Amino acid sequence: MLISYSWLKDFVDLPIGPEETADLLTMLGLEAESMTRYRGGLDKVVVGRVVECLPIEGSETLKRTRVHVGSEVLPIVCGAPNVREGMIVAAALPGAILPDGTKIKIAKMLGHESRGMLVSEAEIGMSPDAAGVLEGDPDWPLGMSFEKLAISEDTIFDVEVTPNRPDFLSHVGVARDLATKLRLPLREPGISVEQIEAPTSQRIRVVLEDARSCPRYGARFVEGVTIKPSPFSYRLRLSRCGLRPISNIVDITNYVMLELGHPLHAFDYALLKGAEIRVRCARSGETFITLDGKVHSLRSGTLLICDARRGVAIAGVMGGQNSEIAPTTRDVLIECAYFDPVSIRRTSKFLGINSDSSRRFERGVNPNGVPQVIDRAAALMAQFSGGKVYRGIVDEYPEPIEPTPIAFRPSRARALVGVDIPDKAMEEILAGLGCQVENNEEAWVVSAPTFRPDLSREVDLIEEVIRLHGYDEIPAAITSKVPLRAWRDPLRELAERCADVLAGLGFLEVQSVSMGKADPRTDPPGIPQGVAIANPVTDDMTHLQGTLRGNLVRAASANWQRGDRTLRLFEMARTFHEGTSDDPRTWEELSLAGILSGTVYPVGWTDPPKPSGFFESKGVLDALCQKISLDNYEIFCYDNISEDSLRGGLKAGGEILGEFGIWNRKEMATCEIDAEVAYFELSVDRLARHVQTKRKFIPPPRFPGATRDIAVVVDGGLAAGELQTAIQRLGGENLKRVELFDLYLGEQVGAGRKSLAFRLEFFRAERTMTAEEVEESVERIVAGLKEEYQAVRR
Amino acid sequence: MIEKIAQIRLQAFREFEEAKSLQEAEAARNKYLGRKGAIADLFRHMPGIPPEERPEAGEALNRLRAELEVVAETAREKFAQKKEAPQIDTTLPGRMPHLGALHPLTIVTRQIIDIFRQMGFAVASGPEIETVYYNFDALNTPPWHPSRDESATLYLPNGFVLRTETSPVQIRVMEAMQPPVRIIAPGRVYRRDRPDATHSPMFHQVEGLYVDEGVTMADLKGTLVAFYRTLFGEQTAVRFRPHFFPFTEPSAEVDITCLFCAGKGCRICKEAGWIEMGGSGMVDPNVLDGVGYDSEKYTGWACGLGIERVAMFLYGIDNIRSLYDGDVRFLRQFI
Repeated sequence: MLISYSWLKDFVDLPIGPEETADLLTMLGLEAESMTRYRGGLDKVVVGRVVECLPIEGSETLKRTRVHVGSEVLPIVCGAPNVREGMIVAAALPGAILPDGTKIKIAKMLGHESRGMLVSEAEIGMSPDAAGVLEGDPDWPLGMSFEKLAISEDTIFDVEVTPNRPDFLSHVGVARDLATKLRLPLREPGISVEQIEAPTSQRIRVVLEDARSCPRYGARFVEGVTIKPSPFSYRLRLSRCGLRPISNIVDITNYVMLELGHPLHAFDYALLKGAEIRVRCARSGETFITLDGKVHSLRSGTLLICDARRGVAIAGVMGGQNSEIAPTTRDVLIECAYFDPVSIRRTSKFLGINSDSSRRFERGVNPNGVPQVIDRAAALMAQFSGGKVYRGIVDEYPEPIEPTPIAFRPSRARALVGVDIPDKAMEEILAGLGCQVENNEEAWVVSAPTFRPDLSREVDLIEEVIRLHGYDEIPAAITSKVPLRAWRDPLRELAERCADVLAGLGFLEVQSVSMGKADPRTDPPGIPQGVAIANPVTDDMTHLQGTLRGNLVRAASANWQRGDRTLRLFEMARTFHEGTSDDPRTWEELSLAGILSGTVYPVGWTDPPKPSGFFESKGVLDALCQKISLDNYEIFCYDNISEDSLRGGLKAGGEILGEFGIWNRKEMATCEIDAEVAYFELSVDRLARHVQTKRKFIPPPRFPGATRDIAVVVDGGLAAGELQTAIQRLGGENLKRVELFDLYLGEQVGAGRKSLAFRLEFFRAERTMTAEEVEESVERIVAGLKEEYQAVRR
Repeated sequence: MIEKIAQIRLQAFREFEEAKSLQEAEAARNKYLGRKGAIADLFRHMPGIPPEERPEAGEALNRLRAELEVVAETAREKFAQKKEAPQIDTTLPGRMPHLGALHPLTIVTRQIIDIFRQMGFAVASGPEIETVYYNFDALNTPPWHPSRDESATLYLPNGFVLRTETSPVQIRVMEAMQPPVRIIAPGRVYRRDRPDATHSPMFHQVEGLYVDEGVTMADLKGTLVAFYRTLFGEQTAVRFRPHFFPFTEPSAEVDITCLFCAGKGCRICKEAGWIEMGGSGMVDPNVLDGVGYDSEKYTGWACGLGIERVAMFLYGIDNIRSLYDGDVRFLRQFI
């Protein structure tokens, strides 16, 4: 919303300049996001009248004009579309310097001399209007410098109006808050309409068929208007506030809207059939052409303003082409109504029209402001168009909307905001904002004005009090009553632990946007699509991620392309999943995923680079499980799909907690990575169910133990893990640790055989083990392995 | 005898000193310390000297032998080193493990959590796929509010909504417990914003909520002042600016002193001297009543702030997208 500083000054005698006003507005909750300054006039730019305007041969746009500037008549070439004979214009004379630095000189264009330039409002810094040359008022003295014309300089604030404040969509509304804040009187526009004897009701009848959607409809009739430009100062304010001036009648409806916040509509009375306005709901499929020329198919429920035969405006949204003000208009019907915000919002959304009018009706205009607004418009029309205003308003308002009284306790206000605001200050603030205050000691009764639909409860009034009193007055409490209680959050602690462990293991944490689109053509296998979004932001964010691997692989690919090829990345975030037929609810869980590629160590000078592969990623997973105290976990692999494309998972207590594996070069080719990539993805929610929450200390052995190494040759297909489990079982309770330290495949053990070497650690808690005891255990193990696996000791 | 020992000592020292190679040093060693060397020779002559001189001479001779052994060893090491040349170049880089790092958003989130936890807040969380009830209705969002629009908010085909702020966690926590409630809730939120340098359709927020008897707006300000001073430094000032949020009344936008110009006015703060950090306010009585709290008895405040914004200010990151694209050249800066 654009608010003019000079316009505000019409209603309150601001003792402060534009900058301070902007700051004050910001601190009143109307944030001034930017300020634009416009100048009043410019030296060496004078008032002129176009006395001749002829086309130039060889040019479609240029015209040669002769401009009377008081003392002389100048030939000026002009390309503006709106220049015409008789027009009052601004002529920049040779020597003038425009705000953008352009110097005006005598020039020749297409063989015609041009001794100056006709300028637009924008060119002399007066308004943003650059559509054509400035059109002045007929009574401006020719030759007068623009510096001396009484055209106000102005500053326009671009303010952000929150949706609860329809009154801030008007200059009077903004001025009211400023006046209250500054404790100055508010001066609303004075209105006195000169009316003729004939009553308005003689020319129009209003029928409300739907008084719920249109609780009030006021109409006035103005006879014999002359359509012409409105006075320059009014046009200037409109264009500075972002509205294009059109003609006096239309400009007035816009001007009054910006002034009082209430949209109006003007009909060409001659085009209304049957001297009747009927407010009814549209029939489904009824078509209507709005004044921007667009054809709309309406639905039932759309509120339509009709004459005796057809629709003439979509209520509160936009007028119709069939009844709009035209240069030929003689008589005008002014509409000023109050429409139900919900109805207008639905229509505006359905039709996709967001107009200055609908924006205001949607938020709620003042139903009781109708007489003031329509009279203001009628008075201005009489003044600027020469029309005659008929007597009285035809005002259909079957059930007047009254302000609701609100019980208000000043003590409650002080208690809630923590500021000791005196009763009197509160009363002044509320009164300044337009409230009626009945002050009965502790319990006040406050009636909020109907232009403030946001004030309906005590707490709303408390906000007004502290807002106008000043948020800066709220002290910062330095003590607080903290309940003596502390909380642990095991899931969050586990999540942080996981992140710390992985960062410690050399992984860089990634955070990605949790939306994307899985694409089997470019993703490695096993990337689920996730959960579809009904209204995605972009075509590549159609789903909530079903896995974190998709984003990790995409990040890896981008890094790989840039030459960063040793990658250890992880991410922890929610993943999203469609429900099943049994339970169709979508669900989400906290997931943790990592990928590894490249070399075991960062490339250095000491060792030749060693590629990181399956066992590195299994080792990382193992380290993570140990570091988070995962209980009884098992890292397993499904039967090998192929040597370099392994799939497996992590489980504990019979529950699968996640998956891991390797994508081989071929699988990664689609992601433009020419290397194998290991990955894992775990559910942190599920991990949390299997971590040891209580750890118990086991004293280290007090008596020396014994270490023995055994190497056994077994069938090449036997899993080392199985052998290790068997050793553990055969070794009995004194065998405390079994560790594989060598794997050998080769001639010495024979084809299809392998040698595995284990280090065994024995000890007893209560005494030193004898050599015989240890040997006995080792032999038992060897014998057992021989029996079960035909293992041969080397 | 004593004189003889002193003389040999001088001579031996000179020879070791003048030795120019390992061979010369070894020769000197043999000459004096060898089995047939000068010292052994003197020991052999010991029986020939008067008995009363023997203890003194023996002691001197032993001392000389010990001295020369050290000298000989030093000389040998000197030449041995020169010869065996492969010395360690200690300027070569060390053998590094992979250096991992937490993401700046994680670092900042943890800092924020840490500060609030010290002030007595518990950490809560809630789902990212929310119901319209928790995301809007329970937060007193009017039916017409533009935030409900499909142009502003992401929906699932089944009508669920991707939470637009962490505020629904407030409702879930209050439904689950009675006051006093002091929580913060960090997490991801979603808006239907097209990605650009300052917007992302997904970002992170932290929600704060305190409900108890007698909680005032001054408590809100005091907590936020304490929080922002801890996060950004003691010179930080906090300003409340009136605003409108459906779930709070009164509501305030929270500004802090611009971190780049210390409030003097610069490009970042658009000459205002203040930068916006988030929204806050007193919990609307409708919200409290909706979860079954007595809004006459209990009052409370709520606040929210964007974690990306904090991270971008703290580290001087000017494009929000660099937080999400997993570029290791970016991530490695937070090792």
